[in-house]
Amino acid sequence: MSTVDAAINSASADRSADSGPVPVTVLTGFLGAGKTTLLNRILTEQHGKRIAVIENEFGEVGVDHELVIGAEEEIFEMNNGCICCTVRGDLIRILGTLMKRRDRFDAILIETTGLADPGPVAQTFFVDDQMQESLRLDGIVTLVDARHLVEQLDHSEETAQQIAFADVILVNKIDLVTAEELDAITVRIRRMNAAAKIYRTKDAAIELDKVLDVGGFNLSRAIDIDPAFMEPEYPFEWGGILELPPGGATIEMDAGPDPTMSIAIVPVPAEGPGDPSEQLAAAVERAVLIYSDDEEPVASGGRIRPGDVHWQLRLEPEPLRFAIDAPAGGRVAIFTEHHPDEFTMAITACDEEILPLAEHEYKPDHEHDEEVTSVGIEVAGDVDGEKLNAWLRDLLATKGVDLYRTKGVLAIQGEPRRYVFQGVHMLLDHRPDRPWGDAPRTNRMIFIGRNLDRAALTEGFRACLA
Amino acid sequence: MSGLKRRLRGTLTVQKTFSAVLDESVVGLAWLQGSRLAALTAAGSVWLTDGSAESLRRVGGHAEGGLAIASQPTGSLLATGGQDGMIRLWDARAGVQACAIETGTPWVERLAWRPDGSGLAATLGRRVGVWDAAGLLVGRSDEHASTAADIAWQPDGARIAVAAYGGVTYLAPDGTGPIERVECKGSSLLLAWQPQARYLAVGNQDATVLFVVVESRETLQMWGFPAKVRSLAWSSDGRWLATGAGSGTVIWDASGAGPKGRTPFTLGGHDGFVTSVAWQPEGPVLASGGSDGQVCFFQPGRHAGRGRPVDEGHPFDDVVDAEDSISLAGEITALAWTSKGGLLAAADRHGTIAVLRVG
Repeated sequence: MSTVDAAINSASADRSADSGPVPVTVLTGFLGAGKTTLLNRILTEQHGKRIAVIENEFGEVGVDHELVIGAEEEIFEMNNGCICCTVRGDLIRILGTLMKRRDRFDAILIETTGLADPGPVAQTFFVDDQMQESLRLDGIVTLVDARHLVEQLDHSEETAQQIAFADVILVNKIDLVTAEELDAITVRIRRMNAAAKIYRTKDAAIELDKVLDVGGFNLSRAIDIDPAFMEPEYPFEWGGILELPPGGATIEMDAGPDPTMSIAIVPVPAEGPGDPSEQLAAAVERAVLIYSDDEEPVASGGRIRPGDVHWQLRLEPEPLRFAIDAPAGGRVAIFTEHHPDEFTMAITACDEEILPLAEHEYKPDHEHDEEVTSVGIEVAGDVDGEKLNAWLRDLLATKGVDLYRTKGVLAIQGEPRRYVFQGVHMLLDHRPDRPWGDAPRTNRMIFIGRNLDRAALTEGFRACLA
Repeated sequence: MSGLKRRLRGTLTVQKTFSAVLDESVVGLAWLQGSRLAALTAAGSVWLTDGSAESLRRVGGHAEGGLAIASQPTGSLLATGGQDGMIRLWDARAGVQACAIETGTPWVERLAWRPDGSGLAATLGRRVGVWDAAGLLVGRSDEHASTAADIAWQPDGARIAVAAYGGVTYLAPDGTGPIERVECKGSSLLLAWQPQARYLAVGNQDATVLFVVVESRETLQMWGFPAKVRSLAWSSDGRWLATGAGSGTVIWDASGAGPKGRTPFTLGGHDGFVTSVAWQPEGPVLASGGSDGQVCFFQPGRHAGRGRPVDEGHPFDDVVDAEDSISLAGEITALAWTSKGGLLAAADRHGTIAVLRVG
């Protein structure tokens, strides 16, 4: 084997290019979800944009349009050592030809087949240097059929994949479901993909600017991950800050909907923040880790104590009482699997109820069992660049197949600028972005994938902190 | 710049003798007998000129866009392929279409004449077809697993090599087959036969070049390119293979025991990607075109003498400087030498064509 002299560097962009790279939108969705309706809308409506369309086969769009090209999916495995790296060879060829006449259109739309995995399409844009020069993957738009989504999710992996990859999800045919069904669908989609924009449509009627030029793969926009979408799911429903008196306290409760209830009691460090709400927020991650441990069962009448133990209260025999051992008393954060109200639970000392100084209800994750989920991580502080690199490299090598999309903004120690990254499976694109300035340095990431282990991801990331 | 004569370092002079701007980005160029030049544009127009502004004219074209152009060796036919699914044969002398072949495929992306000019091969999606010079179908290959990316006749006309996903296959001269396969992981995109036919060079999507040793069927895969290989060209003596990848042109030495174990060297000159490389037939000069609109010229110097190991010195140390290069308006899309190598035609993405006298 010979290697090319290392002196060849990656070339700079086409100096003679007339304008920036052409945005490409990928349209996915099951047969019957409304892709063709949306395509026809885009091609016939007067929106002032010239859009070239690559259809998954010829003649589906019933429009006489000179910029509609048929493509037959050709999946190529890349022989570059990346085991899950597949690309769409047909797109490399067709887009290459299309770009010779790039002044004829403003944007490109690629329609995939109903059963297509969007991965190879997205990876094509990361892998082919010629495409990277002249094109930019703008976003993946997934249409779902509101009426058939639940059934499709149960029967096909592709539907979940298409939702997981999406930057924009159109829940279409909303006229065929009830308002309650629609809400349930939306919640389910949100659990799978916490970062996508979701729109509800009838006859795929949507403003063009909601699906085109959304910047889904724009590195700078990785920063715009909406914190509301980042609200992670927790293994507990309720948390509160309580001041335990010396001598400890007692948990009193009635039987409820479950025969057991998990609980964690996290001591609040004296050196931490003084505000109870901040103390609660600071304790959440430790509680998540505690909840990921095996349960320590305790029968009614037993004793529990603050610390790193995942207690499982056995709700018999009645009356239900558990002692909290805390001889010196002190401030603790208590996290319960169910909301205390469901069990009329009270924490008392000397027959007086201790009221929480701060409390919060958490979005539970134990009511469903979705294979595809989103894991959001938000941690303040700086990360060690080398540790992070090693962690990410290992994560992508071992979990890359299951990771559909990742994006994030990081505060790397010694780096005055935000560090942004975007990825599809094992391929990551990253670069420094604008400076932090006076903004608090914090790390925010989202992973969307199959069988993700929230606790392991969180713990893995925390270990990279400087 | 027109008419400006520039003496390049060394012994080379390059003079622009003609230039014009066509309707759209130029897809390909082909020289015909009598120093007539043909150009195909992305719009599908076929242009002919004898090198004078008065003679330049559009003789016809392909609806929806042009994809491939090839001139008949030892003849006066020009073949073009387009997005209208047609192969069109043009009588270059009369400047009229001689024949239009409906292929039944949406796009005709690659065309290659048999070296004796008796047959024309074309890619038809996953198949390859061969026609005779009268436009009659001779034969068609079986369906490949993926679209045929490139085709190239063995210099003696005995076989047609086809590049596709999974490597190279060979077809019989009548287009039937495959009769033989050379497996290569990944997707093969470009083919170039060494004129002496000891090697077939294959450019791959995964930024490698494969040398197929024709006799032994051994393959040598060369890694380390910064980007996928966009162009391949052999020197007429069969010693050098030029490969355009990233911002450089990488030169492999196939003399003696071949490229195995030899470190190639890189020629620069472009501020941007190398988009095409073309070696002078019957001469030592290599031309490279880049996304920066430059055409650079190189020729092997005193170290390139027969029997001298390459690593004793840069064999191309008579390389011309970048400022001595010729510049067009935009990214170079095609380069074509006349068969004797006296003239080089170059074209760019803005529709510029230029003829350069090199000597």
